[in-house]
Amino acid sequence: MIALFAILIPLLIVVLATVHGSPYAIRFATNMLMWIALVQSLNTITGYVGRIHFGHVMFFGLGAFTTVLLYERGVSWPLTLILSPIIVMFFALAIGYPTLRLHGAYFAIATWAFAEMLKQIALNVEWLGKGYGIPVRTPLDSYQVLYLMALVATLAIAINIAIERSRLGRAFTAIRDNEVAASVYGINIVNYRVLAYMLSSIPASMAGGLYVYWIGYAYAGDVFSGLKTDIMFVALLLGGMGNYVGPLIGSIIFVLTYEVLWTYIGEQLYLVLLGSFIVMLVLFMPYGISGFLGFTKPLVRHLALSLTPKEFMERLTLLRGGRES
Amino acid sequence: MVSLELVVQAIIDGLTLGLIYAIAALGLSLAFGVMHVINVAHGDFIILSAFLIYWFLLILGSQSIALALLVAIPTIIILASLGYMIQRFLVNRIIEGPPLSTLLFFFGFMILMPNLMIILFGPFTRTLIIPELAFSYEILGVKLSASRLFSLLMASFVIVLTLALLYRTRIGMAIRATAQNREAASICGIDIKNAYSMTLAVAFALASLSGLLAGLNFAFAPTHGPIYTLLSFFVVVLGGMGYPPGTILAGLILGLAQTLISTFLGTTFVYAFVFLLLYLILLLRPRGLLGRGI
Repeated sequence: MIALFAILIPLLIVVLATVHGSPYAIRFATNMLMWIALVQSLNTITGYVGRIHFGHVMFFGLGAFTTVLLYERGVSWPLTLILSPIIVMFFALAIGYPTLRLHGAYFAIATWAFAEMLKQIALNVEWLGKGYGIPVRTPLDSYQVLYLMALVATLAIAINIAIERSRLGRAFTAIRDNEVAASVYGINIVNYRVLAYMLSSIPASMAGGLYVYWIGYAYAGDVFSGLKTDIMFVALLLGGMGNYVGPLIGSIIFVLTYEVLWTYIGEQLYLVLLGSFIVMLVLFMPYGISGFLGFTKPLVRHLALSLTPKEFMERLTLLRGGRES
Repeated sequence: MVSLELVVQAIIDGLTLGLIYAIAALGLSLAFGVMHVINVAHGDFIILSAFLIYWFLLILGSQSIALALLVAIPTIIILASLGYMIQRFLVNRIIEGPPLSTLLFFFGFMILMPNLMIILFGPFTRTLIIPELAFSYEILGVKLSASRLFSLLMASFVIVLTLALLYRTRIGMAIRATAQNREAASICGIDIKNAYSMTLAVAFALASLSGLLAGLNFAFAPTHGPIYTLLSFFVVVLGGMGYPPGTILAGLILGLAQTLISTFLGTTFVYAFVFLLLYLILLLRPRGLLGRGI
């Protein structure tokens, strides 16, 4: 029931926007759908598998650039939107295998550095637009972008619902909560993690491609900007991760408050408030709004979440009366 | 044209830059080594202290090196007590919680700090120009700018002082004991929470000192924080997390590499190259070049 409602939310946003019909409403709805897609896709790797992915914007940026480069070479636009996620998915496979072996903060920093590196390369290479970006003569009108963005958002939600309802999701959660126990139960940790990484790259790269058709411009400083990752994390933390409801709540609240507050108090003060808000969230509501409402279901509750495999084995030894093996 | 003078000059510039990086990274490394806390807002606190010093000098209306050192003292005190209070009243509450909640906590600071600084100090790029240091000696064709020399001396002094604090004082011993084994330190009567708070205070004091030195040598803007954070991470990872001597060595390596690359190969891909290296080191040698990290 909740799943059905969740998957219909993009459609609802589209209907509301088209009923209102103003260019502003269309733009606003497209923006909201883009963030839903991005935050849901971040949720796949960070929420279910438990890897803090500080470089998530790289999928968005890569999607944007592969789309533009393909389109510039005469590939038709629907084909670019199908080809670019496939390319980015293989990219995720290639860098996922080595990177996902890293744990916790090491993974966060490594992916952050990687995304920054991609940005620096794109900012300095002539055919990637250098410091001025690649202009695109966009083949889509704003309504088409809206419908396609809704499709991407729906896909992102559907991926997470499918994950949560299948063996896959239980495997992901098991890996997140306790790697050793998961591998004991015959889950191939590496393959599952890379699979989650590839799944999370699909909606993000599609959103990136559409974003370029939407604003008619691919500029590295914009599509690879760290601020995009920051916002995704804000929305994810706000909504709560590890379930498909949290990112929806988080991104909708984020886009709404951003629009209202940004207009009245300016971007800087808004971001200051946002930062303080995250600090408060981490201190007082570490599992977000959806966790607060009881949507997050870790296989083993909080205690296991906070243990490293080594600590887990130590606890296990303690439980057995202090004997080794 | 590669001349000997150019090489020597690049090496001196690189050493200065390297020591500044080392000081910035020492703070990060300490916090990680002792509390396993990753302060992703470290660079923003460096920029904050540079702005505070700039601001104090602006209020006093004159710029001399003595004055800059004088206003650096309240800045260090402000930053250190800020660090102490953040750890004491906020981070200590969540340090036993889910492992990455401290990371996300500082991530909040990473978002609010640049924007707070834009509100307080404006979005413009600034420099700490000290007229007394705006000249250069010329020895055998090598140009040595006075501010570089001053920074080199000052940075070496700070590093010696930090190592002395860590290895020769009681509080340093408490900090190192806590890093080695929390339970054992606690049994020996060390107040763990206080040791944590002192660690972050020292880390923030180091951030403010590197802010002073960075401000004397480079332009800074409110949004420059993340680049300092990432470069500090690079240094910490290269030297091995939580191993101070490795951090200092790694700072020098990065400083030299960056200056030599930008002098002889051009500045275009310096950052791309540094980030690629950071990624590769994390992947291949996560315990650092010397293999002494945690």
